Amino acid sequence: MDSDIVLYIVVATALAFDFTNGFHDTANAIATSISTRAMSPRAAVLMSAVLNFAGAFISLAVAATVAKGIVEADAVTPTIVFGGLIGAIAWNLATWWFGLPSSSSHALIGGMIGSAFVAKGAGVIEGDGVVEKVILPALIAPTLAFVVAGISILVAYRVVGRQRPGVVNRGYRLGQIITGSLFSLAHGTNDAQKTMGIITLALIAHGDIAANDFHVPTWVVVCSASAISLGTYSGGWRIIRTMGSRIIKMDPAQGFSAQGSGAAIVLTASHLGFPLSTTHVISGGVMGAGAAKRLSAVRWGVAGNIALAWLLTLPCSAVIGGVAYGLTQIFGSDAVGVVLVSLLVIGLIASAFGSRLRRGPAITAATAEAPSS
Amino acid sequence: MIGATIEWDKIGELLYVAPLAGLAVSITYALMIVGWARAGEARQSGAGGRAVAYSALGAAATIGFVGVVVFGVTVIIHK
Repeated sequence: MDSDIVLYIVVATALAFDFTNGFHDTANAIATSISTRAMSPRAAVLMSAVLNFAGAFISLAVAATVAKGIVEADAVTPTIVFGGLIGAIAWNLATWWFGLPSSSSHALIGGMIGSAFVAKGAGVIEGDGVVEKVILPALIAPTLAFVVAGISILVAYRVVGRQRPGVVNRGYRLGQIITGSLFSLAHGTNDAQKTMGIITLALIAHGDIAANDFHVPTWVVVCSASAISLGTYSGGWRIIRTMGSRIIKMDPAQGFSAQGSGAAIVLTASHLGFPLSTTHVISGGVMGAGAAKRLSAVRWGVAGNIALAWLLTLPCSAVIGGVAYGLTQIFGSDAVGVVLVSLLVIGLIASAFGSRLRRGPAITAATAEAPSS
Repeated sequence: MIGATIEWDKIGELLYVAPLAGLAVSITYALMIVGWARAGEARQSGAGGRAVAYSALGAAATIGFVGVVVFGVTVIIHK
């Protein structure tokens, strides 16, 4: 009975993480398109939501690799996964609150590390995995995207420089729709599958699926795809505004260069078996496309805040994940602890959103595309 | 020892393949815009030869860009 309750809560928490992952990462695919008016905000989130949903059904290969190489697989229990998810959800909500794009995948990895560390000690953390899957990609992705988008925009200006601006802008806006679609599809195949993998691991730990027969049940695929696409459709407007208009004020050619070179980098990396965070790539790309035109075109204060958020993602989500796991153990029984921590988290989120609503209108689709002063 | 199992060759490959892919996207798309825009202008001004040449450039760049997109979708589907 206790293990049933823990399983239900882990499944619900995993779907909640999937939802936050969707709305947190919407900006990666569509912020530049909204900013350059290639698409209306509502059409952009709808397109992204549909492609995220479709992407979740395309391939299930990623689902089998969740947390692989980061935490020893034998050490993972449903309660450790629960702690990890709480760490990731909390960090996603905190960064969304401040409008800062950060990697949901790194938040999940951080949460799992913290939770597993408190549960089993440092011995179950695989240092090489953390360096290879978190630290190196976090350094390479934004730097590479910055350089490539910067060179791309210089080449683009050189090639199309003598054309009429109207024709060029229309052309690049169309291109942004194509590259945004690629980003959304790639995101669905990657990120929805993390949730599928987590739920499937919980089902294996509970004994519903044999350990030597890893397969993702259809209901898990449908629920995960629905959660991430609903999250995407709800739109993380604060982050969309930061990415689309607070880092640089971009023209369609810059938007295309950031997004086009970003998509090329993400897909090349994926092809080589070295996945990069779409958030880090597109943020680096936007900064590079701005800096290549004029260094002062980039609001370096905003860029610095984003870099700080990336630096803090792993340690902060790990601390929260560790605390969440620790709290579940105070009450002796896994089920009681997990239920109480769930209620506590729901209460904290409700009070935070309640206070936000009382303070005035939030950033919405209507205000997200307006450039900030 | 930390770093012993990291696949440095993959990272090295990424550092030169990804910029090439990014530049391929940017150049093919820019040439596509220039090709079709100039072909339209040449047609309007009655320069048939130039219109054909720019159309050919636009078509070649479009094929290149579509090829890159198709490759991207293939990567997404087969990962």
